[in-house]
Order: sequence, then structure tokens, then C-alpha cells
Amino acid sequence: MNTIYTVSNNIITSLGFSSKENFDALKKGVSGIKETSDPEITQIPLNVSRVDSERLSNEFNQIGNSADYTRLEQLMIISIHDALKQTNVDTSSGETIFILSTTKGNIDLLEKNNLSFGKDRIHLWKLGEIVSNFFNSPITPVIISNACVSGLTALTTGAQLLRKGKYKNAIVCGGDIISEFTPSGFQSFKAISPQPCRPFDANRDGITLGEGAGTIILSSEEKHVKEKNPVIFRGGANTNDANHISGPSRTGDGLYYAIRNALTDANKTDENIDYISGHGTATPYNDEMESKAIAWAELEHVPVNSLKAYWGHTLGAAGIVESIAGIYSIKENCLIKTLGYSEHGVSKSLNIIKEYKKTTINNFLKTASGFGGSNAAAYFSELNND
Amino acid sequence: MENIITKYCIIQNRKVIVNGETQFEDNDNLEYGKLMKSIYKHYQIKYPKYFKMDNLSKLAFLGSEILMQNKDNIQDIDPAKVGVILQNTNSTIDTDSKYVETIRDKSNYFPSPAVFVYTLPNVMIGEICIRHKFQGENACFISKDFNPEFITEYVTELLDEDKIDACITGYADYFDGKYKAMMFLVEKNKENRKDNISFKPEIIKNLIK
Amino acid sequence: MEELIQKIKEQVIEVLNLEDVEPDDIDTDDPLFGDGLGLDSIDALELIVLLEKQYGLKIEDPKDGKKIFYSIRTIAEFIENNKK
Repeated sequence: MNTIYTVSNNIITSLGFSSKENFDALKKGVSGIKETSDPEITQIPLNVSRVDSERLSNEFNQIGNSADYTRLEQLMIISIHDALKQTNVDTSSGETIFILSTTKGNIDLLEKNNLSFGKDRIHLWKLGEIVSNFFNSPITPVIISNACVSGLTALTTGAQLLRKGKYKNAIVCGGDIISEFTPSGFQSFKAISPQPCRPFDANRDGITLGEGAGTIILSSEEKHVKEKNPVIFRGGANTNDANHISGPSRTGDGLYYAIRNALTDANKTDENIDYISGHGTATPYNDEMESKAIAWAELEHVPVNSLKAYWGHTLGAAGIVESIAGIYSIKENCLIKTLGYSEHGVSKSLNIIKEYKKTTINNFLKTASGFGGSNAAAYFSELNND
Repeated sequence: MENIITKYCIIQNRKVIVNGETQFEDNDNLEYGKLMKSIYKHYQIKYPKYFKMDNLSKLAFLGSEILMQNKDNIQDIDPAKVGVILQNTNSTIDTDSKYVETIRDKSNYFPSPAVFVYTLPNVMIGEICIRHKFQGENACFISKDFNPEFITEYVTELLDEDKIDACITGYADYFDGKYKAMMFLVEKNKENRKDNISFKPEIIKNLIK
Repeated sequence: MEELIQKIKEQVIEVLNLEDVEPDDIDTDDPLFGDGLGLDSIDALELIVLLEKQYGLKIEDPKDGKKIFYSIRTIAEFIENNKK
């Protein structure tokens, strides 16, 4: 079975247009969440993390005509373009597959009844065509819409396609935009916090939404690897709670199985996990469920954070951008603090990361959960140190 | 040993075809909701939550109910090792449009949580999992057309790697009054027998013709 | 009050998609959540929308809903007591 190298990556969010720019902000404890009263998005003041629209246009116009592409397409294309710039991966060969993850795609077109891009543009398969065609890919992209675990499902799918050589490279890109649709829906669930979200905190009271795109390029070819000790995608798994379509399992069983199965898939037999990048959306139920799953997996001692108070919950991008932050945590041997957390608020005692800290990090476990009872986990580690 | 399709079900053109046999046909030109309810009653399903589902989830749910009826073999399989992997084309655009109607008029603004919860295509998978306590590998893939090559390769890999022991897989789509479900119950590692339906793309293409 | 109770039963059936349930099938004092009608957390949220849409009464905290939505009667009483 081929080794799956993470060759390059990119993050575009409120905190910047590169992975470095974003991670630098995380190290400094800077959040991209701001309050908005933009009527295009919300009926009441809303905390949200949005990409700078002017910068988005300017950046996109350097590689294409922003008038011809939707907001989400611009985000995803710039992100992929930046990640590709760091490699020699040829997207026009038959050896590279695009795997895209999104929850709602170009939903802003539907809510505004915008037909100026054509009536098919609201469809996710069309989004896939537009993005992969931009890079002259001859292969139909794989598109995953698996709620908030989509990003991790996309990574595990990419790994699966590369392990036995079906393809040599996978461009895995996740993205979602903020429009009226999703915030209003979560508001109807009374699930949005009036303040920036507070993962795992005793006073947490809901999520904060964010938009963005993240790209990780996976390859089974060593020739694309520039680093001496690259980060490897070791294994992943997707499971279901089989409990309720919007509320998480009360026992954490689905997420526990995802963690266990991901580590099994990674052939990880010891308990030396250096860091868990949790889902931590800051709803009362999600964070509690997650603490149970982590405890069940006997990983309560592992430093864990949630990055949702930096970027908000970026939905289809979350699994990707947060995994990239994990990769940078390994590269820079540091742990990012859980912004928004001050008083422990879940029933299991976890090792929540409270301050930025330099320490040796050779691997991490990423977890995610979502509507439809979905759960996913993925394990990454350095080539030479597991 | 091979992975086999032990049951398959096609719901389209007002018919329900199970393992090649037409088990239900609507001759009254019923509209979608009533047609699906008719199928629900025909199979004597008793599951009140069905009536809360959106059009896509109803379709996928009914397909999986039909696959799971009188299915003795799969009783021996741990539901935590049963996967649900489905393809779809139009996501939940139909339900999304209904949701948008609840937020369009700012003077009559009542976003509906019961509609919003169905605005993700993987929720149809969630409903199937809840019904049967399936907790194995789950994914919802979107493609313009049903892609038997992709789905058989993906699911075969999961079965061969022992990640799951059985899978409900195939395709379910609803958009603009048009519906199509082609769903397969696949079990792994069964003895080669002449009457096996092998889980292979060419075979699937024949079954759905 | 009886007229309001009947109206609420009809509205609850409609809004929560309770198929094959008639107003007479719902006992006014039976708990709505738990075993009876098998309502869940999403139903509770839809009842909050119902109260606002049909009766102009806002519930900000879903936790308040537990007492108000205990039974059809408690819903009717809440509406009567808070009518504008």
C-alpha cells in the first residue's frame, strides 16, 4: 500500500489567504470573528467569520475573471491554485483527481434566485465541473457532501484512491460560504451563540459560523515531497451515531468508533498521540458528546483544542483547514490554545489546551461530527516519527 | 469468495422493482407524496418518523426498507459494521427551495427547523442508519449521473479491508418531481455460487437497464 | 378554552406532520414528549415557531419550552396567559 504524503496546502479564511498567514494568527490568538448586521446574511446582529471580499476579488482577478465565478468557486480555485503553486503536480494528467467537499455549494444563488450563472450552477456537480475545469482536469471530480464531516471524508476518500494506485495525486479542497441560508437555519435551531463561540467552556451557548476554503494536496509519489520529514495521512474512518438526525449521540459511540477505526486504519497500536484537533462547535451537546468519545478512547490525557473560535465553523472546509492547522502544529512543534475556553464545561476531564505552547508534536488526530449523525476521524503523523 | 448483491430495489417510473420483479405499480398517476405513501403502505411499513422526512429522505428510506425486509442473513451482521454509501445528483435543492420560502419574506419570517434539518443530502443516510442502527462507514457522493464504477470500487475496498461486512449502497435522487432510487444490499465474502449476483459495475449496469 | 385547545391540536398535527393522527386521538393532558406522540427536539423547535407565527408569542430559550409544551393544555394556558 502506498504512503500518502501531504505535499502542500492552503487556507483561505477571514484570517488570510495562505496557510502561513492563518497559522500565524492562530499562534497569536487572533480571531477572525466579527459582528455583522449585513442584511444579505442576517436579520439580527450576527457574529461570523468572513473572507475579505475585496481581497478575494483582487486575488482572483490575477488568475481569472471574478465576474465569471461565484464567491465559493473563487475561494476554492484560489486555494487550490496556491497549493498547486507549491508543487509540480500536473492536474491535466489522468493521474490527479480532484476531491471537493462542501455542504451547500453555491447556495447564495438559490436564495437570491440568481440565474446569471445559468440554472445548473446551484448544483454541486456543476460546481465540481467549474473548479476542476479551471485546472484542465480530464477526470470527473469526486464531490462529497457529508455535512460537517465532509472535509475529513474527502481526505479519507483521497487516501483510499491513492493507496492502491488508482491515482497518484489527490487535490482535496473543501469550501463553504456564508449567506442567509445556513445562519438562519442554525438560528431556527437556537444553536447560534450571541457571542463568539466558547468550545468546551461551561458557559458555551452555541456555534459561530465561518466561511472559507482549504486545500490539501495528497500524493503517493515521493518526488513531490520537499521536506525531509513530511506529514503523512495515516488513516481515517467515517461512522454514524444512528441516533438522531440533528442531535449527537448521548454516549459518543459513533465518534468513538470513528476514532478507533481511524487509528486501526492507520495501524496505530500505541497510545502516543500528541494532539487532538477536536470538532468543538461549542453547542452544549456536541462538546459533551465529544468529551465522552475521547474519554471512551482513553485519550483524556492528550492535549486537545477546538479552533472554532478563530475561524468559526467553516462547515465543508472545516475538516481540511483544521487538519492543515494540525500539520502546522507538527511542523512548528507547537499547540494552539482553545480560544473562547476558560472554565471547564464538559463532564469528562480533558486536557484542553489553554495557552499557546511550544512542544514536540509528531502526530495528531482530527475529529469531526455533523448533521445526519455523521462522525469522522483522521490520523496524521510525520514520516519518521509516529 | 466474492462480494455479492443479495437484494436490489429500483424505484422509478411509478414502479418498485425488487430483484428484477415488479412488486408495485401505480396506475393512478399519483403525485409524489401520495405515491411514496402508497409504497409505504404497500410494504406495511410502520414508522411514523417517515412522515417528517423530506422528499429525498423518503425515497432513500423506502428503498432501504424494502432491502431490509425479510432479510435473515443480515441479522447475523453487527450493525456497527454495516455501511451506507449513496450517490446523488441534485443534493437537497428541492428541500433547500422549500426552506428558502420560509425566509424569503422578511415581514413573514419564520425559518423552519424541521425543513432546514433536511437540507443536507447525507441526512437520508442518517435516517437509514437510525432505523437499523447501522454505524459503519457512511458517505454521500454527488455526481451528475450514477457512477457504478466509482461506487463499486469504493464499497468493495471497504468490504475487502474489513471495515464493513455489508453495505446499503447505490443511488437516490429527487428533483423537480423526478425521482430515482437504485439501491443494493451488498454482503461481503460469500462463497462463489452460480446464482450469485456479483457486486461489479457491469452487473449493476445490467440490473438497472 | 376548549375551542383554543381544539385549534392547537389541529395546528400541532399539521405543523409536526403527524400522519393519521386526529385531534380526538390527542389527550389534552397527556405529555406530548416521551412515549405518547414520540415528539423530539426538532418538534420542540417547530412548536416554538408555531407559537410565534400563529400567536405572536416568542420563546427565546428552548429550555423554557419544556414547561410550556408539556401538554396541549399547558400550551393553551400559556397562550391564554400571554395573549396580547
